[in-house]
Amino acid sequence: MLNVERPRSEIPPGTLEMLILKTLKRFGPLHGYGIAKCIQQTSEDVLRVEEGSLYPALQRILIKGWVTAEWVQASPKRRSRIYQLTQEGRKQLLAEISEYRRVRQAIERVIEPA
Amino acid sequence: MEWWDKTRRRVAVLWHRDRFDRDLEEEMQSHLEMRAEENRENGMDAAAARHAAKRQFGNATALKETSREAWGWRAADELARDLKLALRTLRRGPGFAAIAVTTLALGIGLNMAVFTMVYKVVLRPVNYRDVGRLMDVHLILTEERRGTIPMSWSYPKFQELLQGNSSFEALAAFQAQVLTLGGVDEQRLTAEIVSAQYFRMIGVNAQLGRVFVDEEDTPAGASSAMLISDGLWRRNFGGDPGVVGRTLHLEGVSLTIVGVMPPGFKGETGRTEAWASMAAYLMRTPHPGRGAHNLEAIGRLKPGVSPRQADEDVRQLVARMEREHPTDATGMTKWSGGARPLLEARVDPEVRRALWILQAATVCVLLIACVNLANLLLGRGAARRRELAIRLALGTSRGALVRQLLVEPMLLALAGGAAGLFLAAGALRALGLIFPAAQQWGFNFEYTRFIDPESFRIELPLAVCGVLLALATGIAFGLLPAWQAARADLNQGLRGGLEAAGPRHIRLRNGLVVVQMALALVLLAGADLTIRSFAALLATNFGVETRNILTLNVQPRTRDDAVSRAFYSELERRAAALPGVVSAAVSSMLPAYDTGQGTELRIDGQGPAILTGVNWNSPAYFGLFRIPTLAGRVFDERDGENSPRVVVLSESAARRFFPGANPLGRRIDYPDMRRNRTGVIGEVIGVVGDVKYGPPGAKTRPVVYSSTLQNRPGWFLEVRAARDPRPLVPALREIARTLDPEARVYDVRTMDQVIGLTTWRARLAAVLLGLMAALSLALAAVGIYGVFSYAVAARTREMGVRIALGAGRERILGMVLREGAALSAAALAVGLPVAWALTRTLSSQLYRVSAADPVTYVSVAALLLAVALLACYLPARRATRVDPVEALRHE
Repeated sequence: MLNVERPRSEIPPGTLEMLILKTLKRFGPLHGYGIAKCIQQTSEDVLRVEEGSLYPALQRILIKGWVTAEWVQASPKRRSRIYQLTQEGRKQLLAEISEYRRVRQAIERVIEPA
Repeated sequence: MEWWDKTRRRVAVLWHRDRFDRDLEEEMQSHLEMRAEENRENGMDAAAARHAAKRQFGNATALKETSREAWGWRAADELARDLKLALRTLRRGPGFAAIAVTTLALGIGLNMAVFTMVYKVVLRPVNYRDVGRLMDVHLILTEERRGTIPMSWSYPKFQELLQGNSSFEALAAFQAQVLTLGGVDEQRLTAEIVSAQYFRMIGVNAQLGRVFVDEEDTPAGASSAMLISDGLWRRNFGGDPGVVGRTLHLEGVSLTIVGVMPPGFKGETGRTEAWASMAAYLMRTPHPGRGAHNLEAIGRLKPGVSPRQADEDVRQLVARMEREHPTDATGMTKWSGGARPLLEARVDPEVRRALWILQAATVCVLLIACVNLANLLLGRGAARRRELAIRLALGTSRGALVRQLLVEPMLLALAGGAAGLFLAAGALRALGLIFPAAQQWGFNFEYTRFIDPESFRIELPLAVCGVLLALATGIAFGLLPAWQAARADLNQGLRGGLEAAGPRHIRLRNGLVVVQMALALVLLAGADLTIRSFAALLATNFGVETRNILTLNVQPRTRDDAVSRAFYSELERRAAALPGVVSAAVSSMLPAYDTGQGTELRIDGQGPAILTGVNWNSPAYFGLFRIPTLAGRVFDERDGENSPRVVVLSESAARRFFPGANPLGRRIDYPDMRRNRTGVIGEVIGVVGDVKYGPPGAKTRPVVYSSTLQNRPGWFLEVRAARDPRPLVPALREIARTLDPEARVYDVRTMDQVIGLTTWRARLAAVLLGLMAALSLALAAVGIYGVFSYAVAARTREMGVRIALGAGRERILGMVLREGAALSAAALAVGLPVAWALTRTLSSQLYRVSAADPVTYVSVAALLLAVALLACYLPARRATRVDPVEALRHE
């Protein structure tokens, strides 16, 4: 199949962590690649993460204790590091979403024609 | 806590850094593989799939770096690098490192030691549960002659306090006494009778058995409950857990041990070893009278009640009590009451003052040490200007440079702090030796707590304080040099050697030297005053000759007067007959030791009563102490029980009782304590020289001497030996035991030891302040030496030129010394007024020395000047030896 190039958007800065948390909440424990794919697919390919940038973001939320990571043997020759949302991560997600909504509404009010 | 969790995760990962890198690598690799697989499934060929995967992934190396940084390791890495750099710098100058660490160890260690002492003696003399809410509740007696003194409660009055007050949620009574513990090895120990409430209130529980219960406040049966200290338990019972239930005899009362108190708990006196329940008190005095004031009270404030409110409440309560049952119907004495915080009541105000002054002096020493190190670092900074300039030129930011330059002092400070910790432990052991084993805690004590050197241990909170102090010290002496070095002018720095440091740098260092010399001067002045005051105390003329005199407190078991009198006269006779003994005497008062209870006397049987000390002594007493007879004669063996009663007056007693008249042949009424009768008349037969009873600082008071042959016997045995009397002790004990197998002998001391007991506070202050001052002087000398060495080195070329142009070596020497003198003069100008102002605080501690004494200021100024000139003489001599050719070639 041909890779149809559609216009893609960079994710707004600061929201990557929220997207990771939400993805983990919706789909359960995932590895890094899984998270990237899920974000891409749920956004219907509009949002495209520069996949590698997931990893620094994952470190940040690991430090904050919002997710935990664990190695599992995915196949005989491959291990995967699976990330799982913690209770704190859940709380943080709610906070970030409501903050995001507030900002979005504010922006929309500004740009909507009066 | 969130911060803590984060740090914990960070550290946990930092610990396994290699694994982290491997994990990240593996994770990213598998990501790429999975993406490539999917790309292949979508129809790409293998190479294109891999390529696309990589493109989508982004810059893996940079991402790894960002991931790593997320964990905050960059700071750790940089710190590690700075540490390595600082260590290398220190290794290059081991002499500097050694001096710095030693100086800091002294400064920090002494501060920790002294603060531990301040903490244990002044801030937390007792460490009870919520001790800030505990109050010392007392009566106050106001008497015309003696002024205002805090008094104990009587049992009935305490009961009224319990019921009548509205400020305390709990009140406990106690009575402290020095008692004799019966048994095979009889020993004297401090015991307290306490009410059951006491232990509940202070929140201290028994380590073995239990504390008292309320039922034990009243007698039931023939025995009463008792608790023993951990020390007594280990000493007397070998730590036997079966001790509970054993019975002991304390001063004739039979007591059953119900528990053992935890280690370190030493009661209200600070050295209590046994506690008896209130039942023991009531067993000894079944019907305590209103006037028998012998119970101390401690209360815990109700929530919301302030100490001041409690004080007022007690005052009003006592006023009410006095209206209903006046204590003194004659109205000559006035009774009131009050309450003050327990922590305040348990500290000897004199000791508190002395220790705070000592703490201030110790902080001064640390400040001087800091100034020294700052100065040394400034010198090194100047020597490293070129290196630092190069690093600045190569792009190190000034902030980073300050940080790097601070790492070195911090390292030094931490090393100094660690060494200081050990030094403090040693210093505390030495400090313990300055506190006498038996501090004067005698007849009319006001519950000054015994200072227990055993409690001088560095505990965790104090050690933490020490580490913080070390860090603060590091910043204090490191910041200025680091900042100074980092703001260096690049251009100049790259060009010059030492000289490029410039005059501003020299001024700064000179300023620091002036500061430390001024500080040292303040300490020297304080120490000088204290030491001279102590010397004056030591030089006190007690009016007696004290060499080779041994004193013992001897008590026969008997209460019968005739038996007791026979016991003492036989004791005296046999003691005097011992080989090596010159003479022996007995008396009721001991020079220097006690002021003697006031006894009411009347002159010629009339006039107002005069409160005077009466010494019952045997005839040999005057000769033994070499007390001169000034008029008439002293009593002797002929003045026996059946002869006319006679008395001898001290010189000041004669002057005071019979001003301008001949006292001989006059009569004095004095009470016969033995028969509890007054009106016995004694005829004055002689006047002897004044003897100072009581500590050297006290006034010499009039004393009346009465013969033990005619009145009651004394209880001190004094023995004058031909040489050191201490080897006589076993023989003397043996004599006492032969005369009365149950006789008790204690407080065995030489007269010099007795005098030492009365001057220990002054000795403490003199020794410690002297030590601090000597240390500060030494540190200041090192500082001056350092700065001048540097200044001379920096001006080698100038010196060379001067010498080449014909300046004599003396002129060079004079030039450097003049600069030293100028700095000293500046230090004196700053230090003398400060010392003058600060030594005011010492005034109340000084004996026969005025805090404004010019001798002190002149001598310490001269000392400082001499040391300063010596410290700059050595570098100055080096300056005169500069070889002009060598110096001019220097650049």
